[in-house]
Amino acid sequence: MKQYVERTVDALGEEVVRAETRRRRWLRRRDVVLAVLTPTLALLAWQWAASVDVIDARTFPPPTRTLTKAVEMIGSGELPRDLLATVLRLLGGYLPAAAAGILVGLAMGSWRALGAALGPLFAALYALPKIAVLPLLLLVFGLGDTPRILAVAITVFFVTQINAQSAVRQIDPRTMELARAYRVRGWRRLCLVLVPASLPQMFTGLRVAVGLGVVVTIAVEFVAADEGIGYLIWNSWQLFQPERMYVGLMAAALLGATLTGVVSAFGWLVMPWRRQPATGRPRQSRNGETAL
Amino acid sequence: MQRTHATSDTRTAFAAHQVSKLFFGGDGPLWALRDMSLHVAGGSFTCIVGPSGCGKSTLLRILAGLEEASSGEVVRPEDDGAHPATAFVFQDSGVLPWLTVLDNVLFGLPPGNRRERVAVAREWLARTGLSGFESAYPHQLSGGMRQRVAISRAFATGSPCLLMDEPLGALDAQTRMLMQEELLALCEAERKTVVFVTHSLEEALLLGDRVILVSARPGRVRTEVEVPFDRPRSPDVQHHAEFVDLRFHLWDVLRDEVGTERAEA
Repeated sequence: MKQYVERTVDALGEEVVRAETRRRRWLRRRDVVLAVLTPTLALLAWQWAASVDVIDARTFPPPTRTLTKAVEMIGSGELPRDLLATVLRLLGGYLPAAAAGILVGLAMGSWRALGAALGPLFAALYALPKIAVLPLLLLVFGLGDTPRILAVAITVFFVTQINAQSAVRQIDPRTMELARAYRVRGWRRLCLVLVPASLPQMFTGLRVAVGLGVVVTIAVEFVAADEGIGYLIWNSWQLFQPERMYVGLMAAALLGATLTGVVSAFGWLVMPWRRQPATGRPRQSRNGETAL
Repeated sequence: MQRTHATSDTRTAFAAHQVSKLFFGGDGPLWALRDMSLHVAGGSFTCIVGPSGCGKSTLLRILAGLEEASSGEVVRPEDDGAHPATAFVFQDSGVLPWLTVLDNVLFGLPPGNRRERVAVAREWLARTGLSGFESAYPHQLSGGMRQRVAISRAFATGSPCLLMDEPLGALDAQTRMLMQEELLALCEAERKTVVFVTHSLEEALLLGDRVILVSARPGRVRTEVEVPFDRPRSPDVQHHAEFVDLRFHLWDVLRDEVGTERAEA
């Protein structure tokens, strides 16, 4: 971790710093290699097993066949169309529900009475499997995209709300006292204390919500859609097209991973104080102003 | 219930009359303070020492208005338009980890003209030796530097009264000695009303005009000592025979109080 301490760096010191930097860089590279190597080996093993009939290639087609199928489906426009349908449903539910969840969670965390009034009810609704509500939503809204998007939104809302609320409730009382001692109130208190103190846990909620959002979108598309990744997987089962099904599974996995990565990157962006620099060199700057 | 008055007499900054504070803890109600009376003159430096848990921090927080006394009367200065009446320095947790050094100081300044606020904050960071670290985050600083940030903020508010709750308590012994000297110089240059809670008798005698010793819980004033050394004061006063005598006298009284505390526990 970067530490600002007074020190003189002579030639020997420079050498030690360089060695340490090299060591850390080597460790980072090794971690990346290992992270890539494990799934690659697993895929190679699968390829080999399928080609020598250790596993049934009809239900477990070799990865190369899935890949060929994926390229073909991208070319025909089938995969992009299904992916787009799923992403639009997911984001259509996720974005407004996450925003609402954070606002309601912040409000419930800040006002004790509101938390007491809504907390137990929301906790009970949170425990309800959201996919179980889909038939009700279909009953109320009919067979459009509305019930599907709502199912995603409900899932996302409760996860973000509960995390935002508990983040506010867990703020160190000494931090709130500091705000009080320096007459930081209202809007300034929200921007300078409540929100930044809650951000780490809010982002935990947002990341979990993305994962759950993908699950619910796909599940909803199993039963009530004629396009989307969920539809693709379900339809492949009905038509017995395992390669196409694996393409769907792969797309779902990549979608979940990508969106989780986007949320993490966003978190890195808005929480500069949580970034850990890689080297141990002190850095000074003349201009220390940031927003607010 | 607590009655609160604004300071009217210019020579009185703070006063507490028969202040008591009841805490509701896990083991039932507990008197933290009982009939505590205290008078702090404007421009004076008052140090409060006492055994752990004697309610000295509670007293300071009541003087600051951060906590309400269960009964008694409290006199404290009121905010004027430009400056808050009191600025508080906490032992730790005084800096917010998500704000840069500069923003941590700005946190204490009333909202207004941004350029003026930044100029004041920078000036105080310079006076505490933190120039160049404006954009650093607290986790990148040493404990001593973090505490300098908290102290800069308190001074930057321009408040005539500073309330400090063991501001150097979490520092290692050497850093603490250095910062005592810095604090001594700052306070003598600014002549503010300071109420300073500490565990250290040396620190109290070095910095204060007056040392108030609080009894074991429930806290009340046990004894009071005027510190006779002239200002500006040099850290060398610690070698004076008088300093050593005062220190022993205070320790004699304090030892009894710590003893009571242990006997009860």
